Amino acid sequence: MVLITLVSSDEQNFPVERELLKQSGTIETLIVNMNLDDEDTDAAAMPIPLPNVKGDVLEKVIQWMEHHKGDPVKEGDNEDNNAEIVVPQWDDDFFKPAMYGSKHLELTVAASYLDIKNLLTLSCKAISNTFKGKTGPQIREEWGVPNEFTPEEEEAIRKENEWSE
Amino acid sequence: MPNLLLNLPPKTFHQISDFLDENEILQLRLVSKMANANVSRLVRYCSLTIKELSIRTLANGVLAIKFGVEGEALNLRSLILCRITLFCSLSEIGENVDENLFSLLEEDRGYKTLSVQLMSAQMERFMTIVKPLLKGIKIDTINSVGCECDLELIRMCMKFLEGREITRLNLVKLNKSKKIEITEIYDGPGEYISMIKKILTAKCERLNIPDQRPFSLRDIENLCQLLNCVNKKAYLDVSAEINTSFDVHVGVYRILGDADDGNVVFSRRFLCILGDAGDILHSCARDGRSALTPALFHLQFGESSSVSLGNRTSIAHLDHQKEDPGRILIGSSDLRSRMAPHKKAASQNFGGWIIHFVAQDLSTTRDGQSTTKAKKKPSLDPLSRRSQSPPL
Repeated sequence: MVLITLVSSDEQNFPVERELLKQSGTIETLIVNMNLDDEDTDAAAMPIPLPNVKGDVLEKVIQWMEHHKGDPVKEGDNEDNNAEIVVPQWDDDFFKPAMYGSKHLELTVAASYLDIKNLLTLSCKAISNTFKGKTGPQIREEWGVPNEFTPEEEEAIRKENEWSE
Repeated sequence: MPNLLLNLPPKTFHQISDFLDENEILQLRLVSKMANANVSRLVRYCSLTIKELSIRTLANGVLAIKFGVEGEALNLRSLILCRITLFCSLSEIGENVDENLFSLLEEDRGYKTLSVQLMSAQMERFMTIVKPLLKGIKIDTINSVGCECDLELIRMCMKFLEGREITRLNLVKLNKSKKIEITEIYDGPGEYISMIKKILTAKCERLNIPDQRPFSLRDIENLCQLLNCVNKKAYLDVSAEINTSFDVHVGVYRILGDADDGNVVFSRRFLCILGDAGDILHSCARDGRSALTPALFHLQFGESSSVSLGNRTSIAHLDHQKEDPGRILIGSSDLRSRMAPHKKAASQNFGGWIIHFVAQDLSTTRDGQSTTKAKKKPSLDPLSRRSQSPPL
């Protein structure tokens, strides 16, 4: 089993199965560019730095990839099927502890950076689910966003929205 | 520490908003002054944080945003936009190229249009950033007005908008009295025709190409072949004038995706499929009509008379042309029923360069429910004015 080492922004090393990394477009490209798949190359000696991903987030990403090992990798954009996407129970449970916090968002940003399409889709879906049926102030409260609007501004936005309601 | 929700990359926020409907997006606008929430393809709003985006984009932070009355630009962040007008001028930033700009913008406020005045180089940078944000938003119209760099702008637009379903391309110009001024933008047959082809092979329903100078007969021929190539019902609706030497002066083309017999009328608008100017006479002879005179092709003639040239069935389908490529088909199409889908589309053009990004189907949600109360101002649409041919 070939292991490839990922290095997070806080210098933590994560040896990961080569097979798992096929889910990440970014890492896959790096592996190809660094010839890590060549038999002559000592992959273990060439860690892949991921300066945009913190260790704790990378750990979660790897955990997710391990669970989804063998899943078909999403090719390109498939926007038309957004409505049909359902977050599986395992993933729901996976995201839930981090929900309404920066961890989930960091995971989402990492998924985008690492180009892990399935993770990104499910993560975005899970985030969007938290917005559904909520008012702006409710979303603010849940996500801990300070209210930057004066009542007048808020009213103005509502008024501007009227035309499309 | 800033809340990450407010600092999500626009692309990520876009992906999240893909799962939301209009009302949910609108609620997101109330979350924060950050406008990322406005970037949603589903609501088909081109609601970008133009101000911040532009500042990031433009060299030296120079920015000229005009939104109606000057000074209102400050409120842009709290404004949902359904259309962005990129007003690219050849003049210096901030200088008004067209005296009508502000009055037009005032009228356009119902559409929540934002105009950003950019130099061409800035336009390119701007569009590079805007492009991913426009993902999924239907680009309805590209408007460009005549100036020496027109074609360059169109080239750029096509590069950025490749693959999109552009439903309308206007290459027009307004003179100071706001009347359509036929514009010379012709730059040789090759590229122009290829550009038209690209648009046609997408789902372009309408193409307006006013041109002061006649298209060459070869171009007309190319267009005709092209229409056959795309293998769809399409009409080249030409308001044409033929001068005394029977050169073809092409006025306005309209290419309709699904015109049917019922919408074909014979009146002042002529549908001309010309392989050769000489065929005009030839066709007339075949139809048993007296020889055409230049006067017959003059618009004034059409307005005062209702004369059909050619026969109705031969006009109905362009595939007829395969059997009789030399035939002249002259007629017109009642376009009024086809204007409806474009009611949120571009309305006006003014000097300089303009690109309208139109949230094309604002009145329709995913399930087809009408949700908007925005009203079209017919007076703003030069196309609608020109397209209303009275039926016989």
